[in-house]
Amino acid sequence: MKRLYIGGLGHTVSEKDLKDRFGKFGDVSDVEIVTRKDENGAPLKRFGYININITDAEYKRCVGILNKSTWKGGTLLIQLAKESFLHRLAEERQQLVEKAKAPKIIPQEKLVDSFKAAGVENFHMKAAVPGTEIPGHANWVVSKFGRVLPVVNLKGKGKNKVFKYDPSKHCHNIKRLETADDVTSVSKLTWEIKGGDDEISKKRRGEFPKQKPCPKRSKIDLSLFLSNLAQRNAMNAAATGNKNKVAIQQNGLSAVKTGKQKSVCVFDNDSDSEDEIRMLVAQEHLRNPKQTSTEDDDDNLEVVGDDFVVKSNAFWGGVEQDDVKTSLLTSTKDDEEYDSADTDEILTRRKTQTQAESAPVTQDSPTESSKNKSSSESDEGSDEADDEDDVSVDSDYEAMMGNCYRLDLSLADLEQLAKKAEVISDDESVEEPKEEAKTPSAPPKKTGNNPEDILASLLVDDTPEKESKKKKYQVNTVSLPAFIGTKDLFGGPEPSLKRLAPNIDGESSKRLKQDLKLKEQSISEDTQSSNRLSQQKLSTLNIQRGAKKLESKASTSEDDSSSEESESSGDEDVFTSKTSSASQSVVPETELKTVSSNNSKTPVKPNQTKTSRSSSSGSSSEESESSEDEDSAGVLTSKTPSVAQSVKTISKTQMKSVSSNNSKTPVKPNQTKTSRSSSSGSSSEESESSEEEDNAKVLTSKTSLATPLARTIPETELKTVSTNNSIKPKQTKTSRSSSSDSSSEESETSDDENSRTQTKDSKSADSKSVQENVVSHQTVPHSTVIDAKKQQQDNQKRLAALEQRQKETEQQKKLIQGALSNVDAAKVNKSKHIVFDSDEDDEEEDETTSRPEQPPTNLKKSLFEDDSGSDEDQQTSMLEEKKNNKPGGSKLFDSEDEDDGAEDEQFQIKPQFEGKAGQKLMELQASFGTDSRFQVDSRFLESDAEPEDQDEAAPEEDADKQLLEEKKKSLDILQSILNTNIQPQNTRKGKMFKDVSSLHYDPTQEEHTAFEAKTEEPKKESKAARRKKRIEAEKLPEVSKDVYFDISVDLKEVFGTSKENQDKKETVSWDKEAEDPEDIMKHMEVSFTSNAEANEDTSGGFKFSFFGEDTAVETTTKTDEYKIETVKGAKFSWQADPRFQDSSSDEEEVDEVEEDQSASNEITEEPTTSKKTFFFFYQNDERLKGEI
Amino acid sequence: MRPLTDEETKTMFEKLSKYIGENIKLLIDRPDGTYCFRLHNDRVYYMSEKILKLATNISRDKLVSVGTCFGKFTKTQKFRLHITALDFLAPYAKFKVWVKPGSEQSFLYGNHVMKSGLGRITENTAQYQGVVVYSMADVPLGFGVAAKTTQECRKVDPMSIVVFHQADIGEYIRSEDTLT
Repeated sequence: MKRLYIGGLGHTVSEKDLKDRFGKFGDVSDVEIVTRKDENGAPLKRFGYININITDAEYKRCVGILNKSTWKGGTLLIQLAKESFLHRLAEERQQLVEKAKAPKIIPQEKLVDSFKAAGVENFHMKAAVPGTEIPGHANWVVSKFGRVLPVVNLKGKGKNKVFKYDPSKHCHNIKRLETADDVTSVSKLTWEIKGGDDEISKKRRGEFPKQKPCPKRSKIDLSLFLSNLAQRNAMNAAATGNKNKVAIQQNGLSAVKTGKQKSVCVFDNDSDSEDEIRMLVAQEHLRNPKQTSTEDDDDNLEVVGDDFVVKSNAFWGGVEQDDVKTSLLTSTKDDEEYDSADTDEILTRRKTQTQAESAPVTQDSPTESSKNKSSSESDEGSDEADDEDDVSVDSDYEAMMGNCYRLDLSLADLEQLAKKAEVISDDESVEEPKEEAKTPSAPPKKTGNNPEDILASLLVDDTPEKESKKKKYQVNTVSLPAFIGTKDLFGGPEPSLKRLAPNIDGESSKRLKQDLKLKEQSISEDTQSSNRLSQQKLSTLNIQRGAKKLESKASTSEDDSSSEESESSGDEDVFTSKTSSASQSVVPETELKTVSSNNSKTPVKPNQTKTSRSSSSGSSSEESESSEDEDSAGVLTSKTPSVAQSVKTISKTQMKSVSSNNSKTPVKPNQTKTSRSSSSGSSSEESESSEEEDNAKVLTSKTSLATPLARTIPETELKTVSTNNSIKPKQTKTSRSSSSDSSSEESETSDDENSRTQTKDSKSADSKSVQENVVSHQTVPHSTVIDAKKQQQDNQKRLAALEQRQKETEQQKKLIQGALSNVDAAKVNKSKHIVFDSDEDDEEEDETTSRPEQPPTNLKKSLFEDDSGSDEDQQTSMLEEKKNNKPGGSKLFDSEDEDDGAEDEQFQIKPQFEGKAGQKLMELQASFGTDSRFQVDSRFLESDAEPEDQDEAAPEEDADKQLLEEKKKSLDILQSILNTNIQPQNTRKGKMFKDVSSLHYDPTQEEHTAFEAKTEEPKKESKAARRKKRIEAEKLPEVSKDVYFDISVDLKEVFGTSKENQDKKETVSWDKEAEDPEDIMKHMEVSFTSNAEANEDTSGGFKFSFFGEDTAVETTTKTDEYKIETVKGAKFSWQADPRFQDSSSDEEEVDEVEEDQSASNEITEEPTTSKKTFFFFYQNDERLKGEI
Repeated sequence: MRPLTDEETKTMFEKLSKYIGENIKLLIDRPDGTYCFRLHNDRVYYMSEKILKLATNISRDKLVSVGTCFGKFTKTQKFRLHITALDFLAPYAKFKVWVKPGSEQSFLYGNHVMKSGLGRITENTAQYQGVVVYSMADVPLGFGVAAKTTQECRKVDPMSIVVFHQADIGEYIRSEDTLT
C-alpha cells in the first residue's frame, strides 16, 4: 500500500474521479483533495493524496501512463508521498503497547547476580588480594579492603589519550567505609544543652535578654542627620549653633514622618504620635547639645562675617579707622584737624575704643562663644578634648602675640618707650583679658528646658543679630579707610599749606602757614633741639595724661595761656609754633587743645628767651589775658568754647577790634617811654615797662588793653571774648609793626619814618587806631633813644626773619582775600578786564570792593598819587627792585648766625619774584603811562609774586594734570571691571589718614610724641608762671580805663586832621591788606628823603626794618621776662610749694616745662626746687597757709 | 618707567579686585595725595607723585625699584602679585583666612593651608576667591586663593587643602633676591 501524491488536478476533478482513474492500477482506499486558495478565495492549485494498494510494477505503469498527462484541464504529477500522519501515529502507539507487554530486565541486578555467582557479595570480596580480577567480569578488580571496583578508562590530555585507571594500583586513597552499627534514632538526638547562666549559654539555649530601647536613639540620629541636611541647605554658615536648633525645629515634622515610617518597618509601633517623637527629639537634643555642635565645627573652625575687625590695628591702619570714626564724629567741620598733630589724640582715643570694641564683640559673637563653650564643655569625644587644647593654645598665643607686637613697636620705634614698655604692656594686658574673656563671659544661651522655649529664644536672638550684622556690614563697607602714606608725616608743611590755600577761612590758613614757617626757622635755629625735644616729649606726655583726666574748660583755657606763655618765654621749637597753630586751629574739642598746649610746654632755656621775644609780642599780651581768665573761672568757661569756634569764624570785624585794641593800648601816658612798644602791641609794652618801670605799670597797661576792649568796642560779648583769644591773628600784624619799628630804630632813620611806619600799622589795624597811632608816633623818638642795645642783634635778626615769614603769610592771605573779593565783585569790573595780568585788576577790584563806604577816598588817592606823578611811581618801583635784590640784604649778610643765613636763603626766593614783578610793573607803566590804576602798589607786587610762582610751577601742574588724567583713566577701567559706579573722592575734603604701617618714629616730629613713654617730671615752677599770671591778673583791676579814653580822644583831635587822607585810604586797605599803608608811607618817605637813604630805608622798612624793630622789641621783652621773674621771687614766700597748686590744677603741668628756665634764670625759684623733694604736705606747710 | 597701558591696568585691576574688590579705588584715589602705578622692568610699582618725580632723576637701567612693588607681568602678560603688595591688600581684603598657630610656620614656608590649620574664615567665601591669610593674632602672613568654599571647609577632612598658597611673608627671606 502506497500513498501517492497527485498534483496538478483540475478544478473539476472530484474524489470519485480520482478513485476511478487510479482504480485500474490498484485498490484505492482513501482519497484526499486539497485546494490552495489565495486571499480572495480564488483557487490557485489543487492536489490530492490517495492511498492505493498497488504493486511496484503497477506503480511504474501508473506513473508512466498518468504522470504528466493532462486530465480535465490540469497536468498530473504523480509522486510517492509519506505515510499519513495519523497513520504513523497509530502505528507508534501500537508499538508502545506492544513494548509494555514485554518484561523489564534491570542490568544492575544482572551484575549483582553475576557477581554473586562469582563470589562477590555487596561489591566486597573477602580474603582477596587487591588486584585480582573477578572471574566473568573483565573490568572489575578487587581493590583495598576487598572492595570490588571497576577499572575506569579516563580521557587524558597527553599522548595516550585514554588513561586506564586501575583502582587496585591506587589503593592508598581509598578509605575504609565504616558501617555504623549503633544507629541512634532521631528522638534520641540531643535536643537540650545543659549549662551555666552566662549569656552565651543562655543564648545557646535560646534565651535572649530583653530588648533595649535603642530604637529611639536611632530615630534621633536620623533627625540630627536631617537637621544637618537642612543646615546645608540653609547655606548660612555664621549662626551655626542657633541654626542647628532652628533646623531641628524645621525638621521636627520631617523627623516625625520618618519616625512613622521607621516605626512601621522596624518597631512595628504605630502608636508613636508626632508629639511624642518631637518630645523625644527635643529631649535628646537637650541631653547632648554638644553632639550637634561638635558635628558641625569639629575642628573648632570659626566662620566670621565680612565685618570682622582685625585686631592688630597698630599694623594695618586700624588706628586710621578709629581716627576716621572719631574724626567723623567729632570734627567734621574742621579742615585743619587732620593735621599730623592729632596722632596722640588718636592714640588716646584708641585705648578707649579698644575697650568699646571689645564690648560689641562680645555681643556680636554669642554664637561663636557658645560654640567654643560647647566644644570646651563637651566631655564625650577625644576630638573635643583636642579642640579644647587648641582653644587654650590659641588664647595663649593671642595674648603672647598681642604683647609681642606691641612690644615690637616700642622697641623698634622708641628706646624710651621700651623703658616704659612694661607699663604699657600692663595696660594692654588689662585690655586683652577683656577681649579674651568674651568667650567665657558670653551668656549661655541654652537655658530653657522646654524645647519650644529654646527655639523661640534662639529665633529671637538670631534675627536681630543678623540685622545688626547687616547694618554693620554696610557701615563698614562705607567706612573703609583710604590708604595713606607717610607723606603727611614726613612731607612737612607744604601739603597742608596747599590744602589750606583754597580754604575760605583765610585767616586761619594764614596763621597756620605762618606757624609752619616759624617751625622751620626754629628747626634751623635750634641746635640743641633734639635733646630738648625728647625731654619735652616725655614731660608733655606725662602732662597729657593728667590733662586728659581733667576736662574742665578752665583747665584747657589755662593750658592755652600757658602755651602762649611758653611761646613768650621764647623757646621757639617746632612744638611751640605748632601749638600755636593747634590752639588756633579750629578744633572744637578741648582735648586736642590740651594736647597741643601740652606740647608747647617746653622747658624754656635762658638762651632762647632772648631769641624769640619777637614772637612773644603778641603772645605775651595773650598771656596776661589768660591770667585774667584764670582768676575769673566763669569767664574762662564762657571763653573757651568761643575760643574753639572763634578761630574758624573770626570775622574781620573781630580782627579789627583786636587790632584796634592793640592800637589803643599805646595811648597810656606811662608808655611814653615805650612808645614803640605801644605801637607794636601790648606785649612790647609789657616788656619794656617791666624793664624800665614797675611791673605794676606794665600790668596796668596790659589791663588797660584788655578791659578797654570790652568797653570801648561796641560789639557783642562773644566778640570781645573771642578777641581775647583771637589776639593771635593780630599777633602777626602787631609783630609786623613791631618789626618795622625795630628796623627803623636800627637804621636810626628819621623820626618821620618811624611815625610813618607806625601810622601804617595803625591804619592797617583800624581807622581809629590810626589816629591813635599818630599820637603814639610822637613818642617814638624817645623810644629810639632808649633802644640802643645791640647785644641782641642775633635775636633781632631772627625776629626779623620771623616777621618776614609772617609777612609772607600775610601776602598769601591777601591773595586769598583778593580772590574772594574778586568772586564777589567780578561782575562790576568785568568790562575793565584788560590784557595784562588779571591779578592787577583783581587788586583794583579788591580795593574798590573793600572800600564801598568811601568811594571818595579812591578818588582822593588817585588824585594824590597823580600829583606825585609817574616819577614817584618809577622811583618806588626801583626801590622795590632794590628791595628785592637786597632782601636778605644788609642785615642778613651781616648776620653772624649761620642759621639766619639759611633762613635768609629761604626768604630770598620771594624777593626774586618780587623783582620780576617789579620789572613787569615797570613795563606796564611804560605802556600805560600815568594811569592811576597802575600805580605802584606793594600789594600789587606781592600779589603778583604769586602768579610768578604759579608760572614756574606750570610744568608741575602739567604733570599733575597728567597724573590726574591717569587716575581718571584707571578709575574708569576699574569701573568697567567692577561694573560699579565709582566716583572719585573729593580729595580736598578727605581727611588726612595716616598709614601707620609705614610710619617710622621720628623724634623730631611732634606727633610722634604719642609713641614715647612718658616720664613724669616734678612740677615745680609751673606755679611760678601761674603766679605770674595771677599777679598780672591782680594788677589788671588797677588799670584805669579812663586814661585810655582820654588819650585816644586827644590823639584823634591832634593828628586826625593832618593825615586824614592817607588814613582813610589805609584804613580801607587794611581790611584786606595791611601792607598798603606801608607802601604809601614808603612813597612818602622817598619823597622826603634823599634817594639813597630812601632806598635803604624803604627796603629796610619793607623787610630789613623788621630786624631793627625786632631788636628793640626783643630787648624789651627780655628785660620784661627777667623782671617778671623777680616779681615772682618776691611772691615766692607764700607760694613756697607750687605742688599744692599743681595738684589742684592742670596748668601746673604746662608750667613744668618752664621750670628749667626759671630755675636757671632766677634765684627765687631755687627754694621751690628744694622743696620739691617732699612729695605732699608736711606740717606747717606754707602752701596751705598761703594760698588756696 | 612708564604708566600702565589700559590693557595692563585692566589685567592688574582684575587681579587686585580678587582680593580687595572695589577698594582698589582707595588706592587710586587717595585723599592724601596723588598716587599712581608705574611699570618698570615688567614690574608694577605703586608710588606717590612725589616719589615719582624723584625717580625721574634716575636712569632706567640703574633704577632697581621705586615705591612699592605690587607684582609683575609675566611673559604671557598675566599679572602676578608679589608679597610686597600685602601691605596694601591686607587692610582692604574682603575675605580673610586665619591660620592656627601650629600651621603658621607651614604656611610661611610656602605650603598650602590645610583644613587642620584653618582657624577662622570669612563667611560666604567663594571657591577660588582671593583671600588674605592672617595669623590668629591678626598679623597678615600672606595671601592665596580659597580652594573650597566656606561651606565646604566645614565638611572636608582635615588634610584637604583649603587655601592655595600664593605668597607669604616668608618670601622676604626665601626669595630675597627676586623681590623688588
